[in-house]
Amino acid sequence: MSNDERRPSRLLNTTRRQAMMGLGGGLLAGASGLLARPAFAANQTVAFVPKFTSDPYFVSANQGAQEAGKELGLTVQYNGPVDANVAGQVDIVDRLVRSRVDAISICALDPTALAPSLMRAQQKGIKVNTWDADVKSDARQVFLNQASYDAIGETIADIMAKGAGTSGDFLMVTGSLTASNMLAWMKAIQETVAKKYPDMHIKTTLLGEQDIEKGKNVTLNYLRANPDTKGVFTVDGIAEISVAEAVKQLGMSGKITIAGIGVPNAIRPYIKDGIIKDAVLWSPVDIGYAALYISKAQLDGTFDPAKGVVKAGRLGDLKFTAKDEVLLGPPLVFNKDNIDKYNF
Amino acid sequence: MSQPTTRSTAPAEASPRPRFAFTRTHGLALLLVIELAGLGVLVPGYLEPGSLLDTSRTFIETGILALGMTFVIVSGGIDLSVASLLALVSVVMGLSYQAGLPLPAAMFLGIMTGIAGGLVNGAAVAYLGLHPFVVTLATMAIYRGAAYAISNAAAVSDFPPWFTSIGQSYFAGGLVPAQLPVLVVAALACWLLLDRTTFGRRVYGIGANELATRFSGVPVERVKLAIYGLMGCLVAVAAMIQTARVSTARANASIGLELPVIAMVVLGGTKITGGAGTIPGTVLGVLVLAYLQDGLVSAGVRNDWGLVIVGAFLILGVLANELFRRAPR
Repeated sequence: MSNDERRPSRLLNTTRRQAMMGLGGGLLAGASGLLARPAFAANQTVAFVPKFTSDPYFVSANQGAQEAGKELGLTVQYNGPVDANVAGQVDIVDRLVRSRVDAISICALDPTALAPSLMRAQQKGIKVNTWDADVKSDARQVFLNQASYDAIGETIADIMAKGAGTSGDFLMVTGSLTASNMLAWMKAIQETVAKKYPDMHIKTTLLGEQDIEKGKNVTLNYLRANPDTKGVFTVDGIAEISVAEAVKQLGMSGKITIAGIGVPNAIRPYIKDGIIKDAVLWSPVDIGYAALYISKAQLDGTFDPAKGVVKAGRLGDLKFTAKDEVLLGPPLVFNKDNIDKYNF
Repeated sequence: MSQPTTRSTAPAEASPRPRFAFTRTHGLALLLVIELAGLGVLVPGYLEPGSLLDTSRTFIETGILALGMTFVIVSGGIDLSVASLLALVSVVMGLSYQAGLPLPAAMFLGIMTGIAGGLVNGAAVAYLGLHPFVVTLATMAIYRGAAYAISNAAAVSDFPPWFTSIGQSYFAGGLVPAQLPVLVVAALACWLLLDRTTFGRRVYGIGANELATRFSGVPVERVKLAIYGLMGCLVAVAAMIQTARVSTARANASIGLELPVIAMVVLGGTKITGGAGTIPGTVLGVLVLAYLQDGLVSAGVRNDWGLVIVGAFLILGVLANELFRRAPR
């Protein structure tokens, strides 16, 4: 113990101490004022857990979740780590289990790290589903897949055919040659092209390494050497920006079609300029919305793969693609007309 | 009000009521009681023993770090690298296990990494005479960077059940988390070390007046080296528990954890400039902050506010230390 502790109290310090206690009490009271609603609300509570709370993508997902919560009379508690911290997300889930939420709907930062906590949640009767990023299959009842790789690949190839025609030479730019989602999208694009548009020739695949500048440079070099290229496939959101920037710099807007994955906030200027006509992704708002409808079905006991579908409000019926996997629906295509509806 | 006042040896003339001195530790204990009572009202079932004990899983690693940090700050130092070192230990252990080393050997390697990381800090502070803030700000980047570099930002997740049970199992009828005794034992050991040994006296001495302590014949450099080495060792223990608890070793583990650790220690009454502070105080600081953060999340408050609370309590802690301090030492 320090010497401070052995000294007796003096009159002067008593007032200071009272001031301190007041401060502490005030903080506690202030903190409780932050409560959105008391935890003992009569309706059921679903915890909607993103990878991290502040990203516009997850904020949009929460919008959809809250919308569905209102329609279904569920209290939706949006809570997750501040940054992509796995232990932080595990802590959050453990807390949710202790605070006895009725269901958890989570986008997992790690498929194995979250599994033990989610299994404990299920043991305590909490219904668990995952969306966007899955966990080990025994740690949740169902995974909501935002869009199948095949459907995305096919939509991208169709956009290309619409913009550039069905024959000629094409380029593909990807962010990574190892990331499993990008590999799956590349494969899906190539398969669709081979099947539906056999005269389209994807001459080569360049690596942008998810770096706008690097992707732009490799694309510039290629397009200068191969001016006959009719279109560029982009396999990730950053490659889409790189390629659009390269096409803009070469003054080839309208001559080269860009088709691929695009994130609205990042490609908005290119869409408005007409450099990119259509870009493919899914709607995070709809993911959140659908995830809550699945939670509701789990809570009501109406969730049943044998039915083949889950009802999801304005989205209609969602199909099972496996006994524990539900598909959100067809990919979302952004263009000049609808891009302003999306903010992520 | 659980704190005994056995050490109140106040001179009678200093106060009209010398029997009971209301200290900062008492205030903190009272705050904890009020806080838990408040949470008990807000969150149904929060005060059930099972729930309270289970919550300890979220602060055991932070608590272990706070114990070591108490020594560091009492000695007039600071260690900003603890969270980075924790990640490095975890990654070293995970990767060497994945590379084929038996897990106990990998754990040993991890512990050695922790101690080495602490000793590097200590050597730079003690023998190069660099300011601990600068040293550990640098190693905070170095250890984190090394963790990312050697793991290539990939995670190791396939630990055997006996290992993950360190952080995920319970005993005493499923009530007590397996890792809780580690914190309790560490707290007792640290309390004995700081309060009851020559080493502990020297730690206070260095923090209160390094020059005077040196002239009293204390090997200041060796003591400092030992303090940071102890910190590194406790980091390694915390790293084992966290890796077991989340069944994952990855380079971005516990980012930003140094902040709550320092906040808890300061809230517990440790003077940020050194020379004063106690282990019981730190334990109370850990409990107050950890249960507040946990309880508010349980009550439905967004986790983002947790950071605001930690920051606020850091300032509140420093302020309280000033207000409760009497004549300059």
